[in-house]
Amino acid sequence: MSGEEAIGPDGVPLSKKALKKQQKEAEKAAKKALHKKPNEGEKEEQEQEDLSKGHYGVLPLNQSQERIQRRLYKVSELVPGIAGQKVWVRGRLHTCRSKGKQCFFVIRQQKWTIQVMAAQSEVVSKQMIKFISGITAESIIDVEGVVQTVSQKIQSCTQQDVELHAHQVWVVSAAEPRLPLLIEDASRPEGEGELATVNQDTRLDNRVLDLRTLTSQSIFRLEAGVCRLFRDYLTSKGFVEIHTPKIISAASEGGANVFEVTYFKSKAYMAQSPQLYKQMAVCAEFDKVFTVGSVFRAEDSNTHRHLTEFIGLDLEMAFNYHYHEVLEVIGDMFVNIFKGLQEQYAEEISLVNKQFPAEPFKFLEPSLILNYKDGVEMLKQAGIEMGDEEDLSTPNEKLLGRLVKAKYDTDFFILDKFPLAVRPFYTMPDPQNPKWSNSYDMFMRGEEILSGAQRVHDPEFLIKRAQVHKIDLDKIKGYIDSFRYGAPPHAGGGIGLERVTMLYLGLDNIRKTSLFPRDPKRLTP
Amino acid sequence: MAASTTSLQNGPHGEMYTIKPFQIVEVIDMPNVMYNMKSYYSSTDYKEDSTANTPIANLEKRHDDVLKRLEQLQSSVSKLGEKYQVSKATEPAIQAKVLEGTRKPPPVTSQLTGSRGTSGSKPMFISGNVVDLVINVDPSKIPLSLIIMCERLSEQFTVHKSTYSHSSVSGTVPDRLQNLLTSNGIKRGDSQVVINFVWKKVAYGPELIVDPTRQTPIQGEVNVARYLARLLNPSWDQDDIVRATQQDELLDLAQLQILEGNTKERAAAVKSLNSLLGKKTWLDGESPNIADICCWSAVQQSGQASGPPANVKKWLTSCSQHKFFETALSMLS
Repeated sequence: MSGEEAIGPDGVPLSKKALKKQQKEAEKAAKKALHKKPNEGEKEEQEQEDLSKGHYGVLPLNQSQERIQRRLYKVSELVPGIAGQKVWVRGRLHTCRSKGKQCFFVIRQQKWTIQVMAAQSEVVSKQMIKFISGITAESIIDVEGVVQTVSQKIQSCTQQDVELHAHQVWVVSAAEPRLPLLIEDASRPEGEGELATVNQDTRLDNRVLDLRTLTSQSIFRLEAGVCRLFRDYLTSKGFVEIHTPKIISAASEGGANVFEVTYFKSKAYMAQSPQLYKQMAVCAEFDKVFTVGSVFRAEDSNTHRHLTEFIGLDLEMAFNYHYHEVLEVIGDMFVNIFKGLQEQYAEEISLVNKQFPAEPFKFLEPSLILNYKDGVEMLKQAGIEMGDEEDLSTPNEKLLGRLVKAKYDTDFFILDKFPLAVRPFYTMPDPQNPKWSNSYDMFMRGEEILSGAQRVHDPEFLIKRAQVHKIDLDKIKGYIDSFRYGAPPHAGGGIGLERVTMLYLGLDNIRKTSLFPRDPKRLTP
Repeated sequence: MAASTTSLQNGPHGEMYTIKPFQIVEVIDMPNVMYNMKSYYSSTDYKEDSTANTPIANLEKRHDDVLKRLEQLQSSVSKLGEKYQVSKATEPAIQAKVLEGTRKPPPVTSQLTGSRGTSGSKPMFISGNVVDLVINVDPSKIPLSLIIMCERLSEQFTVHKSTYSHSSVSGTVPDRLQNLLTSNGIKRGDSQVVINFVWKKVAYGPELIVDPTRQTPIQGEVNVARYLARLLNPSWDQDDIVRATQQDELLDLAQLQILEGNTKERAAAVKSLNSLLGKKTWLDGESPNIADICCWSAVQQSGQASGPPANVKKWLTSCSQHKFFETALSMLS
């Protein structure tokens, strides 16, 4: 700007001082321009000297314009074995930091991460590096690069032995520059130093982001594993999967705790458990059935382990002579699930433990079965005052869990023969002593996860039991009638999927294991 | 006191204010021992007894007093025994020892065969309740002696036995171990003793847990065997102190030298077993007992059973023919 003949805007030559001042201002303006509108500057520069032109940018909105024949590698496939190959990868931009002539960023794909390096060279221009460092975190990007082995393990990534040297970078879908929570913060163990962590409500409000953390990814993969192992085991034992209605006309277990809904001109209820229907399926000659589906509880309890809607894994089975046949099947099923998780999900478990440390889940094979009486005796010896026929309170349940753990070193056990008085009316009483019943609870880490029993399958006896419990017979007429045409002796039980996952992993809150949890205070998202 | 003197020394010389000592310290004679006790020997029992003039009469009186007090003690012990329903088997032994011990040295002759007759009595600490034992065992080091002891227990009591494998060894336990101990129809509720055999990774040998809130686990094969032996016969080592010591020595030999020792120690231990056995069939007594069981188990586990010295060889053969060792032998093949 300052030419040989320094002339002011008014045409008058400038003094030396003014000249200097002007020069400074001009420099400032140039700097500002560079700072404020780097794109414009870049564009100009690109036109002239950008070597990487056409190798980076924002892709147009995908409307399925063209089907490109190109293999996209999974991040998990990038191993030292394919070093030297040029590959395309699509993933999210996890983190990015640039230092002048080079830029390191991490591409995340579900639980896998890989480090990518872009350094100024014949194929990567300065402008390209600038572009990369401007991409917002969590954007989906396509990267073409060469797989290279590294001399030092990259501790922060799952692919520790290789990195990618980028040649092309394209933005497929950009994320908003300001995220409601940072994935890094959400992945941090709580109470560690002074770095930020994200609280439960923020997580749940922005569940889509929260679910992207390695921990959440692992939790829900493991949860899927629980469900699959449950299905596989029972199917292999000859069970049939059934689907039961969720809108029902009457409450299945007493009147309380049900959601009422309008059903055209009358009222209906949301199913509290598939109890009735699985029993009817057994009576309908399916012999052994199981079902996986939502159940609803209108309990206004805001605890770490209650949800108003959760996934119930229920099973019901006709037996030959003794309900322990069923008890053993369920016990064996749990051992199978635990073993399957231990073998197939070791990585997920360790990933979750990194953020939420917990002791590994221990169990015995076959499952430990204690009598309720023995359990109460153990509690009494530990100084708890309670009656023989009293139900276990939550703290006592926990204490019993600890006592059993100390002695038998197992986090899973079965308590058999509960007092009849604390069980629902359809529970079969003990043949020798009417004080006890043929019912059982199962515990994981001292919390109840399954409650089941041999059911009364004789309609007359069922009426008698219902009368003892002062239940309106009209309301359960349909239930009683289903046993009138020949019903096999049967027993069963139900598990909450979220609770099993939570306790297996030793997590502190059931909301962590429910994809979009529903509790008395949360209906969205 | 200390505060006031220092303030006088360090403070300005012109006294701005004076402080009265807030505490008056008396000089207390501090004892140079932790506890003060009256001299035990200067008790008044006999010294002030003026009726007895001769030292011998004095001594006799003292002797009688001691006996009287012992009798009192004995009666109160037996009262307690009745109250808590302690097995009668132990009483005569204690009585004998107390009374005999004052007059003559304990008999060296064996009494164990006699006390075997008391088998069938309840273990002394069982009073209506079930004894629920958890034995944690490493599947790679099978403690044969414990299997034998468990079998012997189930001969004597109604025992509910069950075998578990812990998740720390899940998938690596062979089927024959998985079903090692099974109860033949005895329900948990109807039994006197419950044995839970758990295959598990254990750091310090087999582990026995009875009540974790009141005791630490008993560790080591021989120690667990001792516990089980006491369940079988509460007074197994109380009849004859010399013999009990000998047995103890054998048990320690099995644990410390054969099970935990290096090659040299093991060889030496087997040699000393050889010389101990001599012409005898069993290590101790006319029939195999805990010493034989533990030593046999240790010899088998440490691989000392091949090419042993003559006496040990003979002993091993008689073990393999005895019914006690049947199941455990089948574990070896």
